[in-house]
Amino acid sequence: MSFRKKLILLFALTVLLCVALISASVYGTIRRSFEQAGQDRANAIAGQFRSEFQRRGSEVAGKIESVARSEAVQRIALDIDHGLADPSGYVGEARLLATQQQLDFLELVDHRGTILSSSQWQAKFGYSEIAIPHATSTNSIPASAFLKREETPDGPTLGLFAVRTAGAEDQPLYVIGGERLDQGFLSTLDIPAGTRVLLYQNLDAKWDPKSLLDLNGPAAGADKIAPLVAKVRDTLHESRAVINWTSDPADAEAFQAIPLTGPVINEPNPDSATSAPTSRDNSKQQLLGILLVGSSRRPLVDLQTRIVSTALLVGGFGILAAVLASLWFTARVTRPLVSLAEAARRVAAGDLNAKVDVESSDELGELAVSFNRMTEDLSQQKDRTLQAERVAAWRELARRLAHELKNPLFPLQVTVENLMRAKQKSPEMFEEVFAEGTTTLLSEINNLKTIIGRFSEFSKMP
Amino acid sequence: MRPIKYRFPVPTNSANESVGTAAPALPSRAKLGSSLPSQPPLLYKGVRFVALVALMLLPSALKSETRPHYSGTVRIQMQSSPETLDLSPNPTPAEYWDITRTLSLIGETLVNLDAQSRPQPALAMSWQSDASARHWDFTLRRGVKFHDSSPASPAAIAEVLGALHPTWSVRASTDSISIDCSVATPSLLAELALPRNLLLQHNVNGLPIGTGPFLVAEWQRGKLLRLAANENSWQGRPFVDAIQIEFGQSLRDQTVALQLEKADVIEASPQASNGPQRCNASASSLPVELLALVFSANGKAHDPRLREALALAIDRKPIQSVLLKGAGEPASTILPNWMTGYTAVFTIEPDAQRARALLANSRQPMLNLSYDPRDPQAQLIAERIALNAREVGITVQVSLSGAEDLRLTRIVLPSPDPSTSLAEAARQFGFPEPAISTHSLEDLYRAERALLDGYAVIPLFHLPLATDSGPRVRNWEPDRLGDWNGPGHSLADVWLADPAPAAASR
Repeated sequence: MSFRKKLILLFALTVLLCVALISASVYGTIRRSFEQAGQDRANAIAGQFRSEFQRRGSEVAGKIESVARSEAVQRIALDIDHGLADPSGYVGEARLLATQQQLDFLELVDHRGTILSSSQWQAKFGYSEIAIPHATSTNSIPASAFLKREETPDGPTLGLFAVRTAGAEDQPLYVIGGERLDQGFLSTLDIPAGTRVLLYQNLDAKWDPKSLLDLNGPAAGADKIAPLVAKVRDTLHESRAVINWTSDPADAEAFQAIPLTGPVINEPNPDSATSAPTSRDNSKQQLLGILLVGSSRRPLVDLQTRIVSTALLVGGFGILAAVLASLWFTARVTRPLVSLAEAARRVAAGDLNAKVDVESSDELGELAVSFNRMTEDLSQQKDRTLQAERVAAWRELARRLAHELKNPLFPLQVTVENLMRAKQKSPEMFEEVFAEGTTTLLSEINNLKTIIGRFSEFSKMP
Repeated sequence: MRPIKYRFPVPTNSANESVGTAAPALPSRAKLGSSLPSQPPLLYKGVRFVALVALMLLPSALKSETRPHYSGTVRIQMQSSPETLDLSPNPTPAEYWDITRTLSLIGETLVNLDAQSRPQPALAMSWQSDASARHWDFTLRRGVKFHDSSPASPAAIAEVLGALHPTWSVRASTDSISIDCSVATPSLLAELALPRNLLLQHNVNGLPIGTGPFLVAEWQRGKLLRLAANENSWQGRPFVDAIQIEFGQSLRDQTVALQLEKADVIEASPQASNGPQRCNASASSLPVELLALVFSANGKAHDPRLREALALAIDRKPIQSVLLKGAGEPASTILPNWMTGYTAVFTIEPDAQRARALLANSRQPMLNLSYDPRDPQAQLIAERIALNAREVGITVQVSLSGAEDLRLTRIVLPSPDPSTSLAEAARQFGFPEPAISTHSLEDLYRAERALLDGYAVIPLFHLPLATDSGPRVRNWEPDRLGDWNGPGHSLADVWLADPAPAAASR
């Protein structure tokens, strides 16, 4: 991979990394902000619920107080005090009084905790009201309203109750009544857009999807909320969970579950035939309901989607810009290097005349100057070497020429000396010696001519 | 001036004649060991006669209201709204009593039964049967005429009876009729005393014509019936000129009307004898209705253990003391004790522990309990039963919709004759007719035990009927069986202290 490509890749990765880091940071911040906002909304609704609970509780307590002071209840209390109680005459009283006061529940209970009249279940006369023995055992009637599980012919339900007494202190007639805590109660809450409130009426030991109510009655898809409800039932503490209704994460809701507890009541032992309260483990905080505040994840997911889209767009543009910029930049940066590389290749090929243009005064400019100086030095060094070699060659040639010339001269010298000696000492033989001598001389002279001819040819070599 | 034929207490044949000629004797209360004292009829009637004569002979210084006199209209209110003056095949108890009480003022039967189940002469003066109880002869009262002045001759009576019972062979002779049945019918007298055997003809408008003390003067379907005194009644002209019956009035409206003196006689909810006294005269009958739980044949309660557990779960005492205001009697049998005397043999004590034990290790379905919405007490009683059932682990849903698994129903025990009432009860429950061959107490007990075994029906209460009358009404004592024209207790004997009250004008 070329240096230029590496640079381009490096630039692109750098841009991408920066965009990703920024997006992740924004994403996380927004997520935390949304969760905080959801928490704040849930807390606000829970506060609103408690406020409404107290307001409605005060209303209920007022109505129960009115019932306790009514002529009918005072008459019944007087009958009981005088021992003239006739339960057959009281059966319909509670429903009548409840209708007058617009109460969903109303029971008249004697001092032993026996129901004399019940509006919600008229046939329940003679049975025990478990809240009253508790109140009498602790000698305290709750002044404010409280949550209570109530049995009706249609099954158990949840209500907001208050208790008041009428008649003599030693044999008081308890008036206990209230209003149903269901979707009607939820409809009174001011719920912001994107948020909804569910109420789980914790009426049975087992999970009952029909007990999960929204504004229109039993809520749809209740089973997906079951784990959250189970967690609150186990821990009695607030809990949060995100419920994915569909595969689309935008349809998910973040639920905060807030436990609603009633007063501590000694539940009757179910194994016992009597309805008297026990003092064993049955005394505990009753979890009667769970308020579930759900915030839609759609705004968060939409924003997250927009962030991701923007990040991808910005990242894409960034990468493109980075590529273009890196192309321009690397072209600017690598052009001297490319020239240097080319010049180096020419030098390597033996072209010591290669030069690069010096376009800047930075490190690359200095490099170019140095390169040019280096090639120049190399060229000079090469000339000097060549000259030296030529001298050495000529010396060798001269030495070899002298040697070659010396070889024929010695026979010539010997032949001439023989002719001289023959003429001087043996003229008879001169003629013969002369003929032989001249042949030798001519032969040697031809050798010299050959050597000279070769030398002449050598000099003609390029 | 209207010729007045003074009306005395119901003229009857002598007790010796009626009882002596009634060949197989019906099981009487005394015979079955009832604790109710039997009253000597002759002495009782004598006392009434003396009292009436004494009243008529009181010094004139007494107010006129204390003397019997002819005139006035008795205003009666009833709950039901009958479209016709006929007894429908399956009426509700209220419809039954309203229509039979009305028709009994218009028509008469051959014989009547008193509270002790003894036959009393009516249109028939005497009777006898053969040993097989298949052939019966009835000597009819002479000179009796229908409201259209046609004679109530044996032929006319035979025609009416023959139309009512096509399986019988009814023949008329000079002054009697004979009835031949295909099977032995020892309870024929009790059958003939039932309101469905009132001897009525119908005019061209379909209105009933009988021989009773009143005749139909005006009829508005479901709203109003005006009966005029029958001047030619063989019992003598009634004291009042007319009876006006308003239909479709709830018990509450009837009570208000009585308090405002816009009604003279009304139906009322029975109350305990020691209950709060009403401002007006109130009278209760013997228990002549049965409130019971009946399991549907195609319901989900197939398991006999479930039925028995439900029977054991029901605590009748609170229901009786509170919802029924002490009226009636907790019932463990179909027939009340005053008819049979053996109800103590059957237990009615609730036993939740045993009920739970019966249901242990079994998975039982939820039962749908329905009731008659026209019965003002039925819903509360049904809800109480559901509450009791839940205590032992049986889920009972009180509902008027959906397929019923069991029904809280109120039936009429129309006859003081226990065999007849048991057969009628079985018919109303949809059970096969009980096999009662000898009319002995043992036979009756076995038949009733057979009906109760398997818990297809759970008897709850035997209930009386109550009637309230206003201050204008004199000489009014409803029959102990709830009739308004029974032997010795007829509206025809009533006279009004103030014949034309201001509130009476309508």
